[in-house]
Amino acid sequence: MSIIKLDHITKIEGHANLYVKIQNDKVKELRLEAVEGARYFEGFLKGRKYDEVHHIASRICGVCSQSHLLCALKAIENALGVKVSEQTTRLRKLILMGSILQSHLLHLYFLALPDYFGFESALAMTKSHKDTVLRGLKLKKLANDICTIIGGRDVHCITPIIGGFSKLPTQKALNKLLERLKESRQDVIKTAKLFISFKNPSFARKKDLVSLKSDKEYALWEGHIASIDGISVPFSEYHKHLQEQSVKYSSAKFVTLNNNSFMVGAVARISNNKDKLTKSARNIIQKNKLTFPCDSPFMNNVAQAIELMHLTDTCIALLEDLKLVTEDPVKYNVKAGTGIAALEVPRGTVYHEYELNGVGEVVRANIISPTTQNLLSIEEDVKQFLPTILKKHKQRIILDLEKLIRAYDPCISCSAHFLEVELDYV
Amino acid sequence: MLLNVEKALGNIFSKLDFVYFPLIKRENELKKYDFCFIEGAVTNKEQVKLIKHLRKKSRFVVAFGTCATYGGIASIQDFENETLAEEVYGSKISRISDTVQGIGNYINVDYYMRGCPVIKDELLKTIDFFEQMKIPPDYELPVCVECRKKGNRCLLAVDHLPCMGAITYGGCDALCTSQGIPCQGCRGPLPSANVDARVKVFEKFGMSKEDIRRRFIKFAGTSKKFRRILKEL
Repeated sequence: MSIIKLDHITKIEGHANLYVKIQNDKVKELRLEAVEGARYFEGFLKGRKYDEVHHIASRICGVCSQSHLLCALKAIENALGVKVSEQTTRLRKLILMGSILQSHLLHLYFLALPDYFGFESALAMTKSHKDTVLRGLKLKKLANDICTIIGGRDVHCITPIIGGFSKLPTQKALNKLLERLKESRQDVIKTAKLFISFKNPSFARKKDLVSLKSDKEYALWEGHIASIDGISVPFSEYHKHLQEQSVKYSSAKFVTLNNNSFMVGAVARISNNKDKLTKSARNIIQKNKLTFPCDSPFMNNVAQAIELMHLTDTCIALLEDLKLVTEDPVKYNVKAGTGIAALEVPRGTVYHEYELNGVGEVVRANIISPTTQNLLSIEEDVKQFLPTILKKHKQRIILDLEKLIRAYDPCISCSAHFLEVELDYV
Repeated sequence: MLLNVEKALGNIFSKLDFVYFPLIKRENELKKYDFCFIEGAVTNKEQVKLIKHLRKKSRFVVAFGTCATYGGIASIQDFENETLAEEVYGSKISRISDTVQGIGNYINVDYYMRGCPVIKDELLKTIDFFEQMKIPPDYELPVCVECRKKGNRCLLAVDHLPCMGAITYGGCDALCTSQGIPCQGCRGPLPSANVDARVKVFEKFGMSKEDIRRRFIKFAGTSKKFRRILKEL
């Protein structure tokens, strides 16, 4: 019997292990363990005040802080019945897209790319692939600057508050951002070409792909829950369809959709919404004869690269006709109520739900992050993928497994509520 | 955060040799370090063992960020009741985290880089000091000093908002208060902080005991200064 054990899977956000026991070329046992410290965010948000929830929720993760911040803010506003202005929505959408760009670029250039180029890290690539690394850094800086200019800081934004913004950006800063975004298009196209050029294992496993969907636009900011297998339900009914399960070996919960594993993230979004992509992003798909819906987890990297194009051009469009007006945050009264919000964020759909009492204290909080929704699907992919590569050398098997897991771009600090790989040959 | 200083990153990577950085590196060595940046709070015995090992192998140890310094936001749970784990995870799971503490509770720390998130300039300056095998001096001015220098309207005195700027370590260039958000105290209390006076001001604003407690139990509730006042409140 042989054991494959990936202890502390690297180049993902957070800490996780994969344990696999193999007997007679068959996988006997497989566990994906998230081992990051349990964090009880939903527990200690109870008793906190409505106006600090987004600050606290932002700290669930450094990589996708904006996702949790914006989703918390939206859920609290829904609980209080606050309707924000169109300008506020537009600026928040820009922060959301800036944060997806930030995260995708970090994942593509610094976590995934070294695997494809055969390096242990992006640091090791700086001499031989200097231009590529510099391109990644330049694009990432721009994505950070979108968040800094509009949200006041690249991580844990400051200015978004209930009802609007504590401080608005200047029109001049936004104009400059628009210019830089336009200039960045060529680099984005190069990035997409690069990731499409990489050869991936031919592995695919049929599973449902779930994301938000909207008639109006490529759903990120709003929409209903949709899947390629035909699920179509309002986001506010998420709890009826998503089941959270605690497992003994992990501090992350596993989530099922109507009791099945499913995948969220860039692949799922494009699979459900490809007709709503910008023309430039659709062109990339057509020219390269890519097919969506797509059952290959490895295609998540390509899907993220296509989204870079979509997001860049959507940010350009949002900024082009934005004439900033001075406005104060919307006034509101504190009252009891429940608010739910769902957003598409770098790794998939995130849900926040808060129940407030009459003085605005949280009495119940529920947060479902994207990675928890993907964990079961990752486990099942590994189970099916592994037998197809068992004849390979152990080090090669481990690298392929890591590649598969990394393609999901799992963010374990978000879901822990942690990755290492253990292969056990009996 | 280190990866967010894009412009200086090339320079940093050429000056320093990163040997252990699992977020971005596949091959990570646990041997000897000149500088060890520890990020995140300590929540279980294995982590205590790991940081003690890292301390032995390192010349300088830096607590990187407020979680490593005080336990950070997740330390809020230390002030909650025991039922929290069961509420979040159900009764099935054994409790993985015991307490949430900064690394200074277990090992000797050479430099605390505070903040949630840390400040890029401070990170770059710290690396410059390290290059000369020196530890940067402690900066002990409150956020208030930087805020006034910028000519901001006082959110505490004028707007009667529960700002923590006067008792909190500066060095952040008053980033929040300059954008209309009262200081949340993410860099923790200064040794000279008059916490009792702050409580009195907050009481005068009509804040309830619970409101005031929430102000202190946030980023640095585990600090000595705040632990004392929280016992009294």
